[in-house]
Amino acid sequence: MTNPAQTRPSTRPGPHTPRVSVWQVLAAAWHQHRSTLLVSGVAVLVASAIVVVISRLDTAGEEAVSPTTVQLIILLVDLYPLGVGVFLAAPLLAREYEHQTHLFAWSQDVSPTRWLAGKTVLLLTVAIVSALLLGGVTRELVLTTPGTRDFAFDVPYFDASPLVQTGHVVFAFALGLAVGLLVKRSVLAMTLTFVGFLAARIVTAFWIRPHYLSPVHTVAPVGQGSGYGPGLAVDSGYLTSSGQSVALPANCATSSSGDYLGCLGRNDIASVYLDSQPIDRLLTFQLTETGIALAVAVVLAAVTWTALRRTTRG
Amino acid sequence: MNEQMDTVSTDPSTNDRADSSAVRVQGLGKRYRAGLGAALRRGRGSSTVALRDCGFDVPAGSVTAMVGANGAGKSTLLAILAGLTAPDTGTVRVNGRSAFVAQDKPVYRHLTPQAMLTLAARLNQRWDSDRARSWLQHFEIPLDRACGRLSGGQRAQVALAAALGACPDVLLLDEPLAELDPLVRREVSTELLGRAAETAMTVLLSSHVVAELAGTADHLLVLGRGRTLLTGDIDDLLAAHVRYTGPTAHPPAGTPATDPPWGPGTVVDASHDHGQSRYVVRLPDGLDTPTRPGAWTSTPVNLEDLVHAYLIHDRKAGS
Repeated sequence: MTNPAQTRPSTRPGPHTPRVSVWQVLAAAWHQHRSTLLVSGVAVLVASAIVVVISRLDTAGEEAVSPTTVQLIILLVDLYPLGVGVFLAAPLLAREYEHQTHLFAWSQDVSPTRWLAGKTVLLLTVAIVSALLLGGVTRELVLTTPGTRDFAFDVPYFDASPLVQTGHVVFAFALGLAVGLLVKRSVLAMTLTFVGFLAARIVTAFWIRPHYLSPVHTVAPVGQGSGYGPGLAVDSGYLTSSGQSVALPANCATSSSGDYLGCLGRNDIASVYLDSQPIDRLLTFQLTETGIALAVAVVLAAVTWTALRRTTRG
Repeated sequence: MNEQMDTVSTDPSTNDRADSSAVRVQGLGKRYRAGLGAALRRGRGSSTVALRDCGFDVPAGSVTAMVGANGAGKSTLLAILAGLTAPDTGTVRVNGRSAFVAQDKPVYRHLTPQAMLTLAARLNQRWDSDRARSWLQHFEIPLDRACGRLSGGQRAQVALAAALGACPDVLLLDEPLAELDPLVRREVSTELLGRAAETAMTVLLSSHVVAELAGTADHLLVLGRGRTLLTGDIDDLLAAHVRYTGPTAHPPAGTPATDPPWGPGTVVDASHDHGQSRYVVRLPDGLDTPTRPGAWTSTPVNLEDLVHAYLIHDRKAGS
């Protein structure tokens, strides 16, 4: 009998064990998921068509769409990556473990990683194409709706761009897969993906995004405007005549407009400052955020692949 | 009784085995680490040993029955052979392609049996559609009803059909008959044996019901606490063991059970009740005719007695 301490673990299925091609795995994935993909594809097409019709109505001026409606549509589009992560990716591995069907799939002529790669390529391609479509028609809606262009840095508008949507979809998919492999329970995986994705989005949007580049610092004398323009305001405040940043005195905050400037003067507040990301940095920021999302997705995918290989023959 | 009884094997020499083995396992070990919750409850490092230094050969073309108590490591062993679980130590060699039917006979519930076969066809390099479909037709499984609406036995048939359609060289079956009703069990095992013989396929199947294996398998593998307790050709194993029955007074208390004074052989298991003692004894190699010791009667063992003796021995050794 071989001494286990001296034996490297190995499983050799045989010298000529064949493996099915990637195309066969893709065909199998299509066979298994075609209903879901067809239904979701039709839903995305219908939603896109509705958005296009709304944006055309607005352009023709026949019936102006209220900014609230536009914002609601954009918010719904923003939720698309979340849907991909929660409903498509999270159950993908978790449901297999839950129903033990991985024992069927992975005991065919296909390794678990190749099987997962086939599914990922198919599902993620459809998800990305859908994201680009939804992001594209939403961008059209934003451009044709008066006034909304100035808010392109704001959370719902920024996230709805095709570029950012793509990054978020890939990240959500990778997160869902990793969580599904970790917890192996569908509902729990979906819940954790929901929470994790929302948390990542909130932290990114409000704490990380404003600092992708050093903000532009503008100073204006009190009473001559705040320097606000289209873009992302990072910080603003008051400066004394010596240039020291101070908080607005409480008594000034409650002053009437006539007394307000006098109150500031009496407190040695000479100017206001604004740190902001100007609107012409929008594309750079969207590229940066997409890059970060893709990089995190690659790390998550590598963790998932490694974990899957370690627990099986690979 | 010797608590460290070596693996009993009636297989030929190692060199011969290497050529004729469909499956070769050496020094296999597998330990399941506890999940986070269990580790917090039981302390760091808590784990369960599923297999330890497990080794055996499965002859090509044989139908090998794997038997063991719950937790003996049967399902883990089959999962490793199927490539679904990585071992911690040891080596596994499966000659040719294998197909695996897991214990719960998992199938995609939203797919019909026909769609399951299509899926399996796309995931296998070699596929015999007629073989798979004829199995389902033989057992009258509806091809167009979602698997989720089939009975447990019918789903098991779908899983078996998909495995057979893959034309494996080695078919690994984890409790293949458990889901089936008693009427169908015999028919399935007969049909399975017939198809295995037609295609020179090696079958390794695990089961709790030893009586069912008597007419099905020609090779035996008994696992206990993750180790191989007994392996070999069933006829050879039965010929190499004998049951002695006699008065409890014989042999005297304190006699080393591994070296019975009434004849050659090694005691596998002993039981004493109603004034009688019964010993299952493994005879020395080459001794086919049991030596009859005085007041004792010797009778051949059947498969159930044999497996039971080794499992009981293993349980006593572990307690």
